[in-house]
Amino acid sequence: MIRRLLAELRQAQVFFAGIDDVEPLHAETGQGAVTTRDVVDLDRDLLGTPAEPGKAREVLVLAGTPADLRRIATLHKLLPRAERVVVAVLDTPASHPAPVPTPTPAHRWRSLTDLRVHQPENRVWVVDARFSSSTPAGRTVTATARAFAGHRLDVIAAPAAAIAGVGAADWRPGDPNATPAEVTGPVPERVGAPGSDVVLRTLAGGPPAEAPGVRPGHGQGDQDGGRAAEEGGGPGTAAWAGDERPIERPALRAVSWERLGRPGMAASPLADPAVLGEPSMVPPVDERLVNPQGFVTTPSRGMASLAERDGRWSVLLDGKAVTSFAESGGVTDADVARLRQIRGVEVDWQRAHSGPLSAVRVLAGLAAAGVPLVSEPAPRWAGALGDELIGLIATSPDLSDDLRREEHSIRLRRAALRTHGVAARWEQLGAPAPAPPLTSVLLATRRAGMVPFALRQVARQRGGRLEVILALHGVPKGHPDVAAATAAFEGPLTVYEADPRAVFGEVLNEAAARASGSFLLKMDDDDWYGPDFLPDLLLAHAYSGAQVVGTVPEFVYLSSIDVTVHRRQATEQITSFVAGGTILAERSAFQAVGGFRPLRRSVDTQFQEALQAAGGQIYRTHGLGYILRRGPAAGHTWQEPIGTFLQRNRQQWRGFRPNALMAMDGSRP
Amino acid sequence: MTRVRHNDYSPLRPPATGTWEPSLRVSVVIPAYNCADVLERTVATLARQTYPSELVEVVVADDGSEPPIQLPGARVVRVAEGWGRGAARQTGQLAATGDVVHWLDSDMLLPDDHLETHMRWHHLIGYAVVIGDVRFVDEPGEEGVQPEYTRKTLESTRRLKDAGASAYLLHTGASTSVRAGLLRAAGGVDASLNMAEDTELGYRLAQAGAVFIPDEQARAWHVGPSTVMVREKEVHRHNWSYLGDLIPALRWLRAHPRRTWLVPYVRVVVTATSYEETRATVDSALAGTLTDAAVVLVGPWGKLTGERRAGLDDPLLDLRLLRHLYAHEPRVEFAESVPASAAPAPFLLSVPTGWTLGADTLAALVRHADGEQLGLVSVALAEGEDGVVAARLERTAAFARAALFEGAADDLVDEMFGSEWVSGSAYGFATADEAEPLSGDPAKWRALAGRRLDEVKELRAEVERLTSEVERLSAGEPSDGAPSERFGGLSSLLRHLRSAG
Repeated sequence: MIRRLLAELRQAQVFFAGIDDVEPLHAETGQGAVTTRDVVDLDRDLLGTPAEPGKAREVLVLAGTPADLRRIATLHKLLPRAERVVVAVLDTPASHPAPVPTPTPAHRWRSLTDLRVHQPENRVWVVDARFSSSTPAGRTVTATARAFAGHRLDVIAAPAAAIAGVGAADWRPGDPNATPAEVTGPVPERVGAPGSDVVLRTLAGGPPAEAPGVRPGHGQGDQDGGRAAEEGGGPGTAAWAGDERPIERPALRAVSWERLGRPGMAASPLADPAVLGEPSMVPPVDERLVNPQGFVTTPSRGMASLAERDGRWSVLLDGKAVTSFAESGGVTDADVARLRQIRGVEVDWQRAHSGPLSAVRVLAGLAAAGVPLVSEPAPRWAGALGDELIGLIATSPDLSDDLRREEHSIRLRRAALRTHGVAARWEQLGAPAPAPPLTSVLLATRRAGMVPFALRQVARQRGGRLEVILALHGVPKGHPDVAAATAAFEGPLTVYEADPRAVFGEVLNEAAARASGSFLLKMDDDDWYGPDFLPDLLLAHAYSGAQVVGTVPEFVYLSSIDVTVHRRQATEQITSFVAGGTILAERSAFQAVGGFRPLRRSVDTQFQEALQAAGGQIYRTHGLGYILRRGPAAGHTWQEPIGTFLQRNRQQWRGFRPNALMAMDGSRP
Repeated sequence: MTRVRHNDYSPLRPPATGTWEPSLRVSVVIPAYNCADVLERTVATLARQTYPSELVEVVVADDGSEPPIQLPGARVVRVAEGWGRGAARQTGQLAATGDVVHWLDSDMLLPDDHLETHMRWHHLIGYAVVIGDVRFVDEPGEEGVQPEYTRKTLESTRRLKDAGASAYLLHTGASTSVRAGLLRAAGGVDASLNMAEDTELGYRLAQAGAVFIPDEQARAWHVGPSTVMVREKEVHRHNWSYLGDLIPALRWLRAHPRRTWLVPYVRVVVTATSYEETRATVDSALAGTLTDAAVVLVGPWGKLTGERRAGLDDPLLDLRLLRHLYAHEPRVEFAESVPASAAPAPFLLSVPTGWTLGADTLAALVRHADGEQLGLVSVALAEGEDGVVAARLERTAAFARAALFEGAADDLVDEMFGSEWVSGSAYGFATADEAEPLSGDPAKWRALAGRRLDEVKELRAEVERLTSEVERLSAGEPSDGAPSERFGGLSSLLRHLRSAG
């Protein structure tokens, strides 16, 4: 494919990332058959920052996978202006739809005269854009990258960052707002403002004398980085031209096993496991693409191992490599897609990948994707994984049991996304933490007796800032059950006595009108919620980018026959439906579609239909944090017949049997 | 007492011989017919046993030997009624006074700890059937051989731990032991059988909840080959002529599409209510593709007396009509109360009157229960003010074993066999007015067509899954290759499959 594209675009300047086998690229140039042309490896070359990007007739951008394209998007300012831009992604998981860039009415898109998005062969996507006049090629790259991530706003909630040094884009994946800088500075000015609020640079190191100054501990922004540079000072420490004090991190090649094993390295700070043992030493996981989406609950293939092959970590199944990770340790969405049918991956710590940091990076990426990892206790050099992940990987759960496997996967992804996600990483590097969003729980009930139970489900949420809007529908707030429960509830609570004649949809809308959160969460008064229910929904919102997130009743307690069923359900995917008692909606999306319809029932389904009709997306996360209570028929004439819940069962238990993530003792609360 | 799941006796840890204190009494029962010489040798090995002699009783059941057997050291009882091995065993076990009955053939050589090896299991649980490791030798002192069938069965089932409901097939009379109480609860030995009486007894012991434990250490030698070893085909031809009637679990003996058999596979219990409702349920139960089902119709039949009555104004009219309707149907049995067990039938299905079974309902339910050896399948039919209306398929063996313990039967069955709820509509249950008319063969073909349609649907989904798997895998290759060509063979095969439907 690469050769075909090169042959087709003989004049083009070539930029690529995520391609370890660079031979075809250079071979073609080296032969000099046509011309010698610029071929830039955005992962490995030390990049200059032209004051004014140059011009080219054609630009060819090659990315291994969509995840790799997002690193190119970070560096888009380095690309020249061109009249034709071809962006090719060579290995796209089948779950991605065509990456159609959406031109905005902005001035620069007006010169677009021709746009073609096509798939010349399986898994390869090519975006071919022509402009009537020379236009920054990076615009096409960022628009394509955005298309791969569901057309979300590309924002990393952190200060504007400048990045410098080889592989620095790893630290700000998919951030077109980043400012690339020379490795010795300074940060180029932006229109009327300094180029960045914070600088991160990677140092290639080399012989010990040139070892970059790095320090253990959470970086304190540029201040800490600066001090580190001074302390690590000596011949070869890279100078920095500018007032900022960059945060400095070793380029991954500087900490390869080969480099660490060289004579004299014993004295380097890099040989100290305490220095490398901090999560903030490793580039973050790009959770927009490497995340639990697509997790398979009943995998068709067996246990695999993560072991060395040709100097790299590969996932080996029955002796064959299912996927091999990039030298940098960056896990891509294509890697993850290939691992989905595998039951679990056992880590072989001997000869781990290309170096300790890149090995940790592989594991952090796999864990964030929910790939079930198990291993012997981790060696000291893997400390950068963080204590929680190290502990989880060594718990040796019974992965042959589908449910135990999924519980383990969920624990891994939570830990990995919270420790190694992009926003988390920048907080560790000293960026100020944004205030967590407020979620308003909409709890409408007609049953005073259920209020204490329902409020307990809210109170046990372990994370996420929340308030409760309790809408009492035909129940006075002075009812002893209600009064006692609301008095006992700690946290912001608004009690609203709805007009008893109002229909359900109206009651919910009235409740929403009293909410002040940026998210609305509709909960039911009689279902069970695990303590991580809300945090998991918020996490899924962050990585999926959908406006509505929820789950399905995978677990149902059938009280009339005292049986808990585990139903076959597809989760961790964009969907058309989530259960009414689990709808987490962006408030802006809720308002955009006009809230709930004034109906007595089906308000959830109607809301979801309206959202999708408006172009919104619904994401369904895992179902292990929610148990639907299906009561006796007498109470609800409209509910589904009990037989429906007894079909498509994966498992069944007598009595009330919450899974481990529900964190209940098994008794009915 | 330990609760053994299915036939997996691995949680039981018997003590090593010589290290424990026995308390149970054992009666060794030996059927004998004209074999005084070998019997003397067998009884002599019993006198040398490590098991305390005060706890051992030897009963020889003489099946009419000439001259009659006289043997010091043994109680000899004579078969008074009938003849043959079944009659002899039954006579012997009725005379036995021990807590455990230990069957032994007359021509056996035993190591000194043979009885002790058996008895240690019976001290652990009350529902064990211990099977000795019998080897066949030509002369005493040889190592001996295990019958091929026995060896293969033990090998493929982790020594019967995975054999589930078919573990009884290794039950023989050469050297097995069982608690006397369990033996009598199962109905003792069928005295009418001269051959295969041990297999048939094993089947009924299984229905009584027995766990079959083949103990490698309970070695015994049988001098001379067994009849099966010498004349296998003739033995099978003989025994299979009647085992089909007696052991419904031997499905392959019941290949005939519609004849009736002595012991049904499923007993369907229906309580008589109105004539029409009851009739709908009973008729549907008798019209399924599983033909060896029988109905137990429960009602106060004793009230139907013969005095003169007003034909149409009889207060018990509906009951009487039901009696008329099924008086000559051999598969309907009238009972005054709901039977406690379907034994020796392996399954009992109770159906609320007024609900009908589809043509394939019984077959599908039993298949489902057998898939995981479930002890109970509850079928949710409807739900009303009073709760859920359900049919129940109960495994006879499971409920018999549960009855040996304190506690709620359903909980015990769930623990030892597993239980599950299913949806009535998914299994073809319907109310009498919704039911399809019964019409013999058409019903059968409809059921078959329905099954095939389901299969087609499943296979289509499988093809789809495999196709996407192939796409995923082939696309997973480095993009420079030409995956579509390399996988050409497979994709054309898939295309072919798809077009073939």
